[in-house]
Amino acid sequence: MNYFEDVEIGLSATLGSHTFTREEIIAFATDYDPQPFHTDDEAAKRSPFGALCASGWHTAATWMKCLMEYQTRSIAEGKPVRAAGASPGFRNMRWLKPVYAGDTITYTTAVTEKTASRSKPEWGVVRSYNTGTNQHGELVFEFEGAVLVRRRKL
Amino acid sequence: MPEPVEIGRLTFTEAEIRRFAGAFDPQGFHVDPEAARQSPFGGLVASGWHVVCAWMGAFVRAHPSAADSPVDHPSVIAPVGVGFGLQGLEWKAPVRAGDTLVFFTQVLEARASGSRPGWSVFHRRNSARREDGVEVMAFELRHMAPDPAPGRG
Repeated sequence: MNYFEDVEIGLSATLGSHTFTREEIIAFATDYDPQPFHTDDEAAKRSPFGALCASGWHTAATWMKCLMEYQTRSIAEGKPVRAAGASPGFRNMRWLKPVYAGDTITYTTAVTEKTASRSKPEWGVVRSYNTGTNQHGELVFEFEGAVLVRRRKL
Repeated sequence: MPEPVEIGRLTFTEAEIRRFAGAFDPQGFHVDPEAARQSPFGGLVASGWHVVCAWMGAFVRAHPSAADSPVDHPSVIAPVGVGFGLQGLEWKAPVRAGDTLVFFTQVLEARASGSRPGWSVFHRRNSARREDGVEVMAFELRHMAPDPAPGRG
């Protein structure tokens, strides 16, 4: 296990890539963001974006999906996995460019800060800067995440 | 400043919690009831991403229908428009299987878009509360939404 004490500021990782298909963009948006420019090709053509694009929440949730897949791969490779718990939230999430059907987004994370929790002595807060970049090298998504990580038992 | 407005409510079933988390956030305390019992939560809880996505679904569905507007009007194609981003989001309390959340939005600021005629820019505080009144999530959103078609709204 990787504990709070083991987390190095500046440590970064490419979590993985995901190609957003038309079908999954529509399926996600039908449940969680049912605006026609996310669910209907013809309506999307008449929108400011000009073609079907993913809900920003789909782009965000897929960062989490890629993080979890990265952790699963790390465990399979015998690497230590972080003793992470809940997230208190995040800051400064920005959707910078649309994610169109067929786009492949590559997600990253980098540790920016760690602070001991005042209220919970067994946990610390690790902050991160996280990104999504499309196949043209354009930054499409970023946010500053936070997660509780267990402290080493003394 | 306008008060928070209720935009919908949703009961988080165990099946829905596991379905969302299975796709996007398969941590034990979101997908495996036994692992969840042994976790710091003591039972299955919804992914925070699930809670905010459910808020968005409620926000879009609560928007007044533009059914009799021209089919190519932006208020039909993009009823709540395009998000720029969030300054901050807090997940404040766990959401357990069986909890019903009540979703709210509150307009902090609204003004005409300087760059896109016929659209307005909104700054909102959005939240979800359990039925016992405990706020479980809050965030501030900036987005740009189309104005209603002429003769509507």
